[in-house]
Amino acid sequence: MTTRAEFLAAVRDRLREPIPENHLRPLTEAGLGEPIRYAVELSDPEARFLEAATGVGAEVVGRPEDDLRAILERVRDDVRPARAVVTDDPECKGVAPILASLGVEVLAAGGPSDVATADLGVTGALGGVALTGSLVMDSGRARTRLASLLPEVHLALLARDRIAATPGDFLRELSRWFPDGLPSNIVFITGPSRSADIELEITVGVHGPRKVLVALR
Amino acid sequence: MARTTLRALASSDAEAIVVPAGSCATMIRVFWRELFELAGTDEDRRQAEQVAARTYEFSEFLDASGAPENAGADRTPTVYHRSCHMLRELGIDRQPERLLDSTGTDRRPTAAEGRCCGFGGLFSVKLPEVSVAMADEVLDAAKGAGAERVVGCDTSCLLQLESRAQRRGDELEFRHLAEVLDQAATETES
Amino acid sequence: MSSEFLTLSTSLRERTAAQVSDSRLRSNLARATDAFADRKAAAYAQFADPEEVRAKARAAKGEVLRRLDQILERLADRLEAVGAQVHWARTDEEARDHVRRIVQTHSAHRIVKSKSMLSEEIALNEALEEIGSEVTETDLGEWIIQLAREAPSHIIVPAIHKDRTQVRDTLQRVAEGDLSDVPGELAAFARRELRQRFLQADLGISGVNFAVAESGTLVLVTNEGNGRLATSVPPVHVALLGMERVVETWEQLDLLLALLPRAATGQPITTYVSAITGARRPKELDGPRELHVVVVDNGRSSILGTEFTEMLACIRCGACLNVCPVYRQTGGHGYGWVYPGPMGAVLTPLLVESKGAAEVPNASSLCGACWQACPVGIPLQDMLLALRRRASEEARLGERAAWGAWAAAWSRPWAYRASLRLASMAARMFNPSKVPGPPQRWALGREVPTPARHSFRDQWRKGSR
Repeated sequence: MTTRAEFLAAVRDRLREPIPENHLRPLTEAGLGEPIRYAVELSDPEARFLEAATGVGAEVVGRPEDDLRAILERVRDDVRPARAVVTDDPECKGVAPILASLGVEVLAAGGPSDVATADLGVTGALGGVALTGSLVMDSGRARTRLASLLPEVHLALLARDRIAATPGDFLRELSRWFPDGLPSNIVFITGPSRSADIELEITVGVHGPRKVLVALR
Repeated sequence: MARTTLRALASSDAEAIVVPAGSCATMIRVFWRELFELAGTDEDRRQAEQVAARTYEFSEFLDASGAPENAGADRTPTVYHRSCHMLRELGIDRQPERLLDSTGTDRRPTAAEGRCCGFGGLFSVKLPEVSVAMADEVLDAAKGAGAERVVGCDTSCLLQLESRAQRRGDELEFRHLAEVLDQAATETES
Repeated sequence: MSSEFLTLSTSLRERTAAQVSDSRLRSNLARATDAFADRKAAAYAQFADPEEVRAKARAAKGEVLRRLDQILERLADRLEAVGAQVHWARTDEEARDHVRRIVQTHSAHRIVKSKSMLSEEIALNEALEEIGSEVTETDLGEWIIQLAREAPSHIIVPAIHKDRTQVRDTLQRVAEGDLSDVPGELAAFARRELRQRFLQADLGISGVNFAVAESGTLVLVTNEGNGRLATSVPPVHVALLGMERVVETWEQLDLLLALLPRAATGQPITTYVSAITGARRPKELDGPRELHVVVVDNGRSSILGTEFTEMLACIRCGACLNVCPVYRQTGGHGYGWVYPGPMGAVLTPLLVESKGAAEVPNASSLCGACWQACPVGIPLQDMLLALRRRASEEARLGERAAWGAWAAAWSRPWAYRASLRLASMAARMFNPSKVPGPPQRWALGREVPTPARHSFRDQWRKGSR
């Protein structure tokens, strides 16, 4: 079996001489420099987030001024879930008792076969991305990655002051978002699960949630 | 072979070398550099740089000199075929279309905009079935646009398309841009 | 490769001609590639200057390749620091052995896979089935292809060559009731069928779109959610990493992450972008308990340092396939190996040593659309030309002698003029479609042009118009 040292030595060996240049289209050494410039209005991240998120098929079910109970009541009436799984994210504080009082059985996050029985997954979001309308999930604070994945409907609660303008703005500040180091799983979620594998026709809900609901807090 | 042409062109003191075939202009302007880098002397490379700097593709040269004033009597439904080397290597974008439009011709957009005709030199005989299928798509798009004529600036593309159209029995006419401009100018004069 | 669709033992012409004769295939491809073009244009329009982003990405990839040894070393350190187990494979066989050993250690009979072209390259499924494991492809397109016992014909949309009716017929083989041909209903059927497999799986296998060395993170860019399921539900996750799919920093990743989905499917971002750093942490309730990363060379290091080095910058977006006029006619299977289109026509002869592989670069008219579409600016057409040059240096003597004679003749003005007159006469005397070789191949589907009786030079001299 090849060892790490052997593998890397073989790579190093190939790099002893300078790489031949393509005379027609030489490779410039243009550094990274400034972040990517976008031709998209980003001055109001919250507005752009909502526009982009609905553009990819997420539904906005609540604004910061809305009462949490009212939001959950609307979701219950719309989705009619028998069972919901709720994560440990700080945004989810108070969700479980309200859902229970609305007649929804609430599961604690656990193994896949439990979470798979829920029709609704309620999670917080560590942050959002305005340009793309993405929600950022953090397996560390939620303690689970399945609540936003296995149920047919995913409801994410996102604080309005945690929206980065672009993916790059988020990635450049990783150490601020994750002061204790990166969790095992971060996922940017942008709209419902989709596939275009049949005739490039977009279908939703292939493996992940069919519906993604967002409530700004 | 290229060196023979290089010497001939280098020995001329002409201000501009105008080439009526996009691929040939591309060879001189773009690929000679690579060619003489691989197999050439310093003198070859110096001459090639100097020749390339004053070589122009036909439509590019004419457009830069100002579009000719024509009578604009030609209303033939026409599709302009954009040739790959002119478009991507020389970056010649809308010049030929501007010149063509000056003749008043009924130029139509095509669904195969910027798509290769399938010639590709040896490609046309190495994979003839694919090459022909590529030509078919360009021809079908021209016919779909209601064109009676296909105009281009690269003789090899025109050769490929015309040869295929003849075999298919398409009623399409194939002309180099220069021929269309010449005809329009003749009509304007008379 | 077990699939009958992948073979470099037939000639490129035989394969492509067979594909071209399938008009249903061609219309499926035309529809799909046209849809790609529209979506891509809209997604790129979000950049203030798309060319600037491409240039920066190309430069960033160039920088990574120049220091690939150091960056891989840093990646390995970080991966180990976050508890991943790193395995090194110089060859496809070694890569298969690593995965087989992990599978056997865990007695993993039920394996779910998310799409990985690298796993196709090393023919992993067959190797795992040989030791008695059941491997399920879970990407919808890959599952269709697996059930049809075919090979993917596109690196992003594996079943692009099939229309809805063909997909329905394929899925019907494993369905109890009758299926409709509505894509949404077929996808719902796949969800139900595959969900059980995920929940029962002993081990999940995925590819890796990018690895970030500075934090030891594996980045997966997916839409369906099967990538998340395969890397989150089973107790063991095995990730296959092509050694060139690495960046050093998150800042570099930002560029590639912005380009990959826009170039691939015309999305500003895919539905899911997962960043995996190590296995499940003690406080987490789910996620795999073990993470294995198999770093694969399999011929890549032999590309490094050559004039083809930049091919290792390829981010596998498929943009060059979608714009290629040859791919549009032939689809992926004509190329004969796992990577089709222009990127495949370059990679195949670089990664596979055979006569069949050496002729694949001929599957291009050198139109340059691939280079123009490539998000990291790989000069694919220059590489295709260089590979043909390389192949012709080893070509048959006869062909080379003919070229030599042609070059010698056309280098002398008198001989050039004589050859043209000769050609003009010959074309009038013989039927070109009966002349074997290039004339006959030209005449296949095309009329042979007759050279003018009087050359342009003669006409010019006489002052005629």
